[in-house]
Amino acid sequence: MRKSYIFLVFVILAVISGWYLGSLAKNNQNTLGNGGGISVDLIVRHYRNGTLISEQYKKGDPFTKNFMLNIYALLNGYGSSVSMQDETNTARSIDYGSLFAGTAYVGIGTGTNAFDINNYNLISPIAWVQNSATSTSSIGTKGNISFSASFSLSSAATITEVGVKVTEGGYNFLILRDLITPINANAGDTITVQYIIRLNG
Amino acid sequence: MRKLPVILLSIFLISFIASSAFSLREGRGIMEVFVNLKVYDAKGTLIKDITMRDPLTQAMGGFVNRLLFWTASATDESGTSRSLGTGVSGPVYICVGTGSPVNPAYSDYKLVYLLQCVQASQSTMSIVGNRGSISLSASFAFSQQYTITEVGLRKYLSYNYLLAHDALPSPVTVPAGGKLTVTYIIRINSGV
Repeated sequence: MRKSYIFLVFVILAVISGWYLGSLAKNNQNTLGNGGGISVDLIVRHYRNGTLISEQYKKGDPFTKNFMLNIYALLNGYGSSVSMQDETNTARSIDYGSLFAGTAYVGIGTGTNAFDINNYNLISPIAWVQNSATSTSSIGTKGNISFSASFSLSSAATITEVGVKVTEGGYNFLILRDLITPINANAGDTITVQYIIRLNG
Repeated sequence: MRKLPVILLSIFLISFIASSAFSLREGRGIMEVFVNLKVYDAKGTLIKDITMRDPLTQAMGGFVNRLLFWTASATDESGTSRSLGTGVSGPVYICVGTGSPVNPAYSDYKLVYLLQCVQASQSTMSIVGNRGSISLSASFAFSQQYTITEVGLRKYLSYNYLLAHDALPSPVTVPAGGKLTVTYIIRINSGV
């Protein structure tokens, strides 16, 4: 019986030390320097008769290949165009001079397919609304860019996905898409979607 | 009981690997910016190799903002605020400096003490599963010894904009006749 207890203690110690050292090893790789990158926070609110009845907060809304191609173009000093899939899944060659055009839309939909980096549209979009003007703030090494959109539903729907598309060269390209906890909305309900783009956050 | 060390070592290793994998899943859609510096001596022998995460600056924020809305601005390297227009056609440079002290801030628009900028190589891009990677690099050859303390990424678009800037964890000395290679690696959806 005593041997069993000793064995159990050693097993627990092995698990704890392994887990701790594993996380240290990972953190050491990522925390040299002062941190850097972009992450996305998503806040979705559901209102009925003007009353907030649910709110969900998600961190790390994933980026699509189209977003990546925009960053690639920004960081590539040699190319002249990128080929992106527009919202109809048609390949469009967009000149570098037409990128970062400053028009974006937030969408909601009822699709349930898992995120795929090659997503070119919401799976089942039901509405797109041009985003609000962005607001920015910063402190220390961190910067935030936030924007939102509001949707008034004309019919009942179960909202399961949200996303952002940008207009470049006359076409629309999905840059963010994520699934959310399903929202059972009635006709007349309002859904607001807020994005916070965090730089170094 | 004789097998106990093997069993415990196995449990330790499984926990170690699981912990690392769990850390990778944090942040899901995050875009991470890494910079790698390799220092070679005059004989071409690698003498230092460090990788760190490099903070983005207000100019990068300005470009991301411009992707999403038409009124966006960024401060150029002269300290002048400029409205950003449509388009991103222009060369990219990797810069190193010898500034001291270097206290990186989001508001940075230039290196503290710029030593040299070199146009970056053509960027490469790859996607595996839902994760992507973009990388670009530049090499610096020095005829005399320099001690590098800071690194940055610059975009030229009528004006110079500093997109990323960081202090090195510790100064890096490049010997006379040596070479410094700086590579930026941008990882997309590293946690998906």
